[in-house]
Amino acid sequence: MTARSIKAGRRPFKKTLRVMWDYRWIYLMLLPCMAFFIIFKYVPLYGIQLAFKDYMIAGIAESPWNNFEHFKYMMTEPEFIPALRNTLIISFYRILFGFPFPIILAIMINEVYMPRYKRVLQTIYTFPHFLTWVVMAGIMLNLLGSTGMVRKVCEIFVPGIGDNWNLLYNKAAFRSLLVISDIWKEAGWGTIIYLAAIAGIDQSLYEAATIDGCNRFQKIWYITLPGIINMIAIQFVLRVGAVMEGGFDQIFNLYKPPVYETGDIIDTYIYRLSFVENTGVDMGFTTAVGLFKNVINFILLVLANFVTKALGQETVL
Amino acid sequence: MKKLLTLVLALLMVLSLVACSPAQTPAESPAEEPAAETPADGGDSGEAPAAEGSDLEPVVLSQNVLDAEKHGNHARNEFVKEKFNLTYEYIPVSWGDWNEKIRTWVSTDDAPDLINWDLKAASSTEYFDWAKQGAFAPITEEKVAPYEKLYEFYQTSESVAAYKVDGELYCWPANRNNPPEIDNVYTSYYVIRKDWAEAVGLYQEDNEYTWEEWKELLRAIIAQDPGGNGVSNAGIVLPTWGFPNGAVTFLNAPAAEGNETCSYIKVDGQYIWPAATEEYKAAVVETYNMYQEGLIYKDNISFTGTEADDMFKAGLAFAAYNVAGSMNSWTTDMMRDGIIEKREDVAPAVVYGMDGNWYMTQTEDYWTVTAFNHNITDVKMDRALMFWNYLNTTEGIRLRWLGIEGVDYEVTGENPEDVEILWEFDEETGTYISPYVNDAFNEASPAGLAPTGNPAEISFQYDLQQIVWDKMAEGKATIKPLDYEMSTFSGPNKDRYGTFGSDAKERMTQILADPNCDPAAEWDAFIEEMMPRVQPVLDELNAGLAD
Repeated sequence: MTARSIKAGRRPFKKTLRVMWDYRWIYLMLLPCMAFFIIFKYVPLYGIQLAFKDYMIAGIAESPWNNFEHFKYMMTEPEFIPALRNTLIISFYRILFGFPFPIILAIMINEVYMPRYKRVLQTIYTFPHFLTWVVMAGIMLNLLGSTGMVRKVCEIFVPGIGDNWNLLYNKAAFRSLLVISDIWKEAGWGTIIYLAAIAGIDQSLYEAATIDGCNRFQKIWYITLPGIINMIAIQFVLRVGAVMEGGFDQIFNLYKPPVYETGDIIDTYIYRLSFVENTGVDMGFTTAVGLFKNVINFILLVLANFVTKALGQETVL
Repeated sequence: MKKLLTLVLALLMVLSLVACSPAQTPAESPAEEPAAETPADGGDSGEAPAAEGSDLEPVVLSQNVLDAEKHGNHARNEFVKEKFNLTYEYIPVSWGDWNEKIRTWVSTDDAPDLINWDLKAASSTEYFDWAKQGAFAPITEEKVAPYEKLYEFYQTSESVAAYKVDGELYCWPANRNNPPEIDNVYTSYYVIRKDWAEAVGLYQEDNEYTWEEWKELLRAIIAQDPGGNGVSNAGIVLPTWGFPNGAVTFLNAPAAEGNETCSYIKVDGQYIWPAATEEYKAAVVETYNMYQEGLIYKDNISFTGTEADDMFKAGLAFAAYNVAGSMNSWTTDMMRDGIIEKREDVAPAVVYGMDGNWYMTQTEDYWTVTAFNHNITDVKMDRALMFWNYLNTTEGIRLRWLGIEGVDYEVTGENPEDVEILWEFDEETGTYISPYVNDAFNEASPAGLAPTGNPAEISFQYDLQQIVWDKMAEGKATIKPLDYEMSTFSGPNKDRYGTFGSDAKERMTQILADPNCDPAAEWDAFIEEMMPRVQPVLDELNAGLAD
């Protein structure tokens, strides 16, 4: 090992190669994963240039540059800014209400003593995750529609409430509907990672706390939560990094024109522009919108990572 | 135990891999082709003779089709393989993703050989754009000329003329094969439960209703619930393509064209946007009032598929707005399920609009077009044209209607309908039991729709269509013509924005869903908001096409 490499704190290249050879089978296992990322995540980056071009069928390279026309158009398109605003608001609601829910649920499940009952609960809470949003939309229509169960039940307690029943297409209620249905579907699934983190907490800490006279809430506050705080921090950073993902599948299956004002997000807006409007798909424009979205996501991810690091927690970058 | 489980899992994985492998690969070489039999050539005289399969180079054509899973395994497919040495590779599309897939395929140069496309004149901008960019192979006159049936359509069709780009055609319109007297009018109307109308005592002779009579009838149906459906009782249900505008706008406003929500129309030599007219606004207000009153089913707003048809067939709705052509299967299903006692309980209603006119819209002379991928070989294109031409001969029409001579029918005369059907007859429903009921043959659809008159079908549907056509012949219908010139016009703003039909439909739906709004004021505000974008399109049209 040379003095220079020691100073730089780096392992000499030859040694690195030797280590890699020693663990060659492990590295071999990494190859499919690398191939996946190269093929599906890095090669498509070539297509980003479409955001700055007028796409022609002849190919990306043959398409002419257009002097940022798509970005100029994006900013003047009347539906874009509302879609951007909705994306941010809905994501904010999801973080505010949806993010803590799996943590609370995981702690509650962890506090259940009977292991069999605990497993049953976990299965029940996790199951909705495996239903697609298409199925969920059908369930919600049957529950909340004009002939649905909720209306009928409400009619029993408040006669006449169903006269102008419009819960599914009420723009004031739509965002709440999104957040609640998302929690219903995904909270159980989200608990898995926190339950795994809780399982990793040293049991002797709980025993010591019991001897010291802690009650259950104190154990949660002083042992369980600090034990999973790193996991919470990592999950939070990742969630903030996806703030521009408003939940296409869910909204696409639930929304209709009456709630566009509050429910149309960038992804659904791009979809509508590409496949529903009769003017045809403009791949350059949709790429530009996608690029805009991802740049914002990236900036937010870096910012959240920085803040989390500054607070002394583990981070992802 | 663990070892046993591991072994079972491994075996299952191997089995699933085997199960996923294709059952058989379409034969690509002549040696792999089955020996071609020589069925009788029933082609009409003077047509290009179809060479027999054994004389032809084997060809595999990929084509997108609806119901792809129902293709490829029935006798008609085998017949085509043998007669034309032609095998199809079926690429699935559904009603929900059809145009979406076409757009993606063409944009990424990943389209099948035959691109079957639900192209409408009002949204043809994309077609022209792609054709100019070289996405499709030209269908030249020289290519079509040897095929008499196709060439006849090529020379006379309005759409063929309209879709030429620099003198060349880039998509083949599938002839609707409508009788000439209906002038390609889109015969969409309300199909109603006649027995319910009679039950509430408001059935009108010949099922004809003025606008006020129609609303009174709907109110009575909602109030008296003759179907005994309780809270699920519905008046009007509309298909997704016709919601909410189908309820009133199609019947009232001289605006909708080819059943689009709205397009541009010429008034006094100048193009206008019909959504901005007083008549259209009145139709929007009327739709709103009917929806709020519950005459239009409230949850129609959530429909995404065939829910409207399903509700009608399930006996939950009084009236469904739809196109003609489904009545035989609808009434058969409803009788089988005990929803109706006799076919006559269901009938088309003639509903005169608010101004006393019965509006019907003219549509294209085709249903779907088929473009050839730009990299298709001459051999493949020629084989497709040969097959399509054959499908328009007497034998080809019988192949589509019934199947194969000697197996499904025997010939008794010269006309396509002069046959003896060999299928089993079901006395209960009065229909033949087709062996192809679970099979599809959509590779035939580019050739054009099979003409009416299939002897295997009951005449009920045709009788109903005839009622509508007779009334048209009596001059009772006001036909809104299709303007190919406007639809295919190209300009920077029109190409970018189209007709704003989606915007109009969206806003109409938004207004409907708000029980506390003033629909007229909302519509005025919408028009004011839209006109700065609409006007440049109108200016382009008027500069290019005004009288």
